[in-house]
Amino acid sequence: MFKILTVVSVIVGALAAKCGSASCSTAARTPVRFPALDKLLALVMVLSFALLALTGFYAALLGHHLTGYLLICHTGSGGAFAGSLALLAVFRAEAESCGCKCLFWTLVLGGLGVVLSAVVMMQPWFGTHGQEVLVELHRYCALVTLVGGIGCCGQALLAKSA
Amino acid sequence: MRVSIVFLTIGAAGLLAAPRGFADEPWDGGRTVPVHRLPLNDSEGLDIVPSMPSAKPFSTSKSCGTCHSYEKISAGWHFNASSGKTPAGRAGEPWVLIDGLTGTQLPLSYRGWAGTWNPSALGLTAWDFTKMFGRHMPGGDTGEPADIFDDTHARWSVSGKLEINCLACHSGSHAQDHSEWTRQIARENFAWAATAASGLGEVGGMALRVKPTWTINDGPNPDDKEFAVPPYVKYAMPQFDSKNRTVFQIQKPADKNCLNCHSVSPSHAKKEDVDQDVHSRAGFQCVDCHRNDINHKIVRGYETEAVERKDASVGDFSCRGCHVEEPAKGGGRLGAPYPRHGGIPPVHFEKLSCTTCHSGPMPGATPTDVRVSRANRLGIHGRALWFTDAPFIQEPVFVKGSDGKIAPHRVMWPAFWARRANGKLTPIQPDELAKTAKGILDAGHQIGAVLKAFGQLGDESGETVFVASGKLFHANADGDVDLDTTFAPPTGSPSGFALLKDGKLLPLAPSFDPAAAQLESAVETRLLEVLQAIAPDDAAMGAPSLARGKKIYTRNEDGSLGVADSSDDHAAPVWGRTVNGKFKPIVSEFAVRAVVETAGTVQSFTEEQLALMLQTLAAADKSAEFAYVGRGYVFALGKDGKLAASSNPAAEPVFWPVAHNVRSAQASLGARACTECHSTEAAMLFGRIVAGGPLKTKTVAVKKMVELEKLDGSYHKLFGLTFTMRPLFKMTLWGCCGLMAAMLGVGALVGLQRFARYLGKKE
Repeated sequence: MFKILTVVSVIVGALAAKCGSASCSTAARTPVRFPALDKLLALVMVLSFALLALTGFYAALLGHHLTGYLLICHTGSGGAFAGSLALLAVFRAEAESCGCKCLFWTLVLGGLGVVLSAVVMMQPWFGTHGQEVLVELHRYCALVTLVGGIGCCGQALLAKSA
Repeated sequence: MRVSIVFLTIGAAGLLAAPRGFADEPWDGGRTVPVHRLPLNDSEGLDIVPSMPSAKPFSTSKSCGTCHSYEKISAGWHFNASSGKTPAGRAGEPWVLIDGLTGTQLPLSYRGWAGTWNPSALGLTAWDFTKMFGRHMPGGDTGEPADIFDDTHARWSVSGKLEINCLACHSGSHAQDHSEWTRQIARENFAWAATAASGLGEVGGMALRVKPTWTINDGPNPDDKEFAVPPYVKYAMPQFDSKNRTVFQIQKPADKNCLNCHSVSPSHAKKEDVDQDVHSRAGFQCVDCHRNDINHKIVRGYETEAVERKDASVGDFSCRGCHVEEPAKGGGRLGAPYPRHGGIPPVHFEKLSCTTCHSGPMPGATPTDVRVSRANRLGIHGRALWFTDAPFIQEPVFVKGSDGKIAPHRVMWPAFWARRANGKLTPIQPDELAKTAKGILDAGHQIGAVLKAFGQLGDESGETVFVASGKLFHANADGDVDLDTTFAPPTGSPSGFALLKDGKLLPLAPSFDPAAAQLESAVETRLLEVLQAIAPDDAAMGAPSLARGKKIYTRNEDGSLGVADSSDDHAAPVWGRTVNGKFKPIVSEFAVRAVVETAGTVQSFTEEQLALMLQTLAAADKSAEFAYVGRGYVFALGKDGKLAASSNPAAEPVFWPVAHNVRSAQASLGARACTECHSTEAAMLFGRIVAGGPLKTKTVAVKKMVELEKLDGSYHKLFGLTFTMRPLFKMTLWGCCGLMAAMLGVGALVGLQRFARYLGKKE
């Protein structure tokens, strides 16, 4: 099921990128206040997102537990992703054009779910069953993030090439 | 008519002869244990008249077996190891062949568990095994061989068979005595052991001393009432009624009976400091979980047991069986609390057994030394206080079990002498080595024997002790010597034997001037007394002598004191023997060196002794190559004649899982912090296991837990390191969540505002 949903999420993300690319053209965007910082944050976010997707979906799709060096990589890039996404959300709150907004906020919403489920798992609040639920929640939030992430990045790339 | 009578007679006889076994019938629902007021039967099934002087010991197969199927019981785990027909199950504690003199600690098992040796393959017969380990066996198994004439050196016809001792487990009598059982095994009174241990009768005599043609039907030995007294029993008559019946105080096996053979305690701990298993503290008895029916295939309680036995009901009594059933579904059995395991990622339950966090002592930088009943021969009381440090067993050591999960184990490093052929090592039994080892490995005993001999002087002027290299040694009950850790001889104290009185060291013989023309009479008398004490039984071993200055004083066979000149000048008195005019100290420097080097350690011999032993063995049998396995290595003499150590699978440790003592949830590993396991110094991952054993050497195998767990040490170091940053990491994530939630909230409010405007415009 999760594998199918992953494929669907990738397709939805790609379609959303294509559909929204027109409204996400550079002209349509409100200029950001700190373009250099924005670019840096976006770069960190994209790279960490790619790492997270690679490590996380690799384990999930193969039915493995995320352990070993992959886990360290996943957790480490998770921190970078959370930080960069949270700051981008602050900086781009006004800047995103209407067309981009939808995908960006989807990314933020998914990201919030992913980060929240991860950090709650580290607290002694939930027992074994709760932990299992949180792992599932983390996975499905990751799918939402995937849609938002592919959408946003795709839009940006398409808009640039246009 | 006649035919009918014959058939009826045969039928009735058949009914009487057949084991009734009515206790094997389905349970009637009564929850009490019936009173077992029974007559006793001997091994031929005849009723015992306890008042008769020739009464035989009772037979459990014929007394208990009248109602309970002895055959079915014999198939139980406690009694079926040597049959080779039952599944081995998860590895358990091996039997350990211990020999202090040769430094042997060899794990044995008929079940083929990893790292153990099959006793049959080593030439140990059922007789040998029963004699060796009967002390902690509940009877049956090797104690009841099918063919008693199969083994020519066995004495089954004298000793009788060692039947299953039902009372060892099921007796609730306070008179049930495990030490008495052990005593009877040592005396080869196998058939009498159950009677003696039950307290129903007093057993005397020793089958061990009786000629091999004697049988139980021969009765007392009219020629010898002192030494070769055959075993006999005098029943305690007040325990029998007029019908020769007695009440067996039968009950479900009580913990105290189980613990006779299944105790584990930290070495040298105080009894009052050792906590019970959390289940015992809650009022559980061993058999509440370790249940069985008449077949005595007792539930062992490990996770995969139900699958292995193809019996789902067995699974109810594993940790998970009781604890991991959710309260909403009725909970586990016996009101077991449901573990929340808050904040523990589920992957832990797939990689670790429950016992990893909940059983055994908390892991430390090195595992805890423990003593276990069967291997260390615990719980046997009486005059013999034997050395219980060997074999050297440690826990917890974390190893992947047969189910692939990491679990705490006990570890023991094998130690034995072996013949090596084509790289394969075959253990040599200690008996075979005893003769060679004498004079080489028995350094402590050599000194102990002299101390014992001096002790026979009945000297009121003090206790005879041995002093060497500023250390003081006392004779111990085993014939060896113990280092006195509370008394340090004054600096400059001469080496040798001395008297210890009121904290002062005195010479064994009064000091005198060896240059004097004649000794004082009192001195001469004392010298002769002391020399007499160390006079060997065999005159060929030499005359007892004292070397002092440039003189040798010898006690002649006629009891006079002979004086001879010595080429050496002995500043301090040296006791010894003169053979062919040559003086030899009674304790060699080699022995003294060995004792001093091993003093205060649990090791019993040195590399020097090992090398000499290997040389002696090689000289005696040039066709074979000899080696000693111990401390994680194989030691053998190289081509240069020097000792060389090498690795070999035979030197690898043997493990068996720890199940008890179970600790409470609050005291479990990781309950206080994740860093108990996830840190760069975590004992569970980076604890060190140093190979224990009787050899004192610097060449000792050391392993880290991660090696045994087959985990990546570098990764776990790195992962552990991340936990130092974890609080900051969590705070950052919470901050990011807050920011994102805030921005989403603001965005939602803005969206709502726009939506409201839109609605307003529309109106």
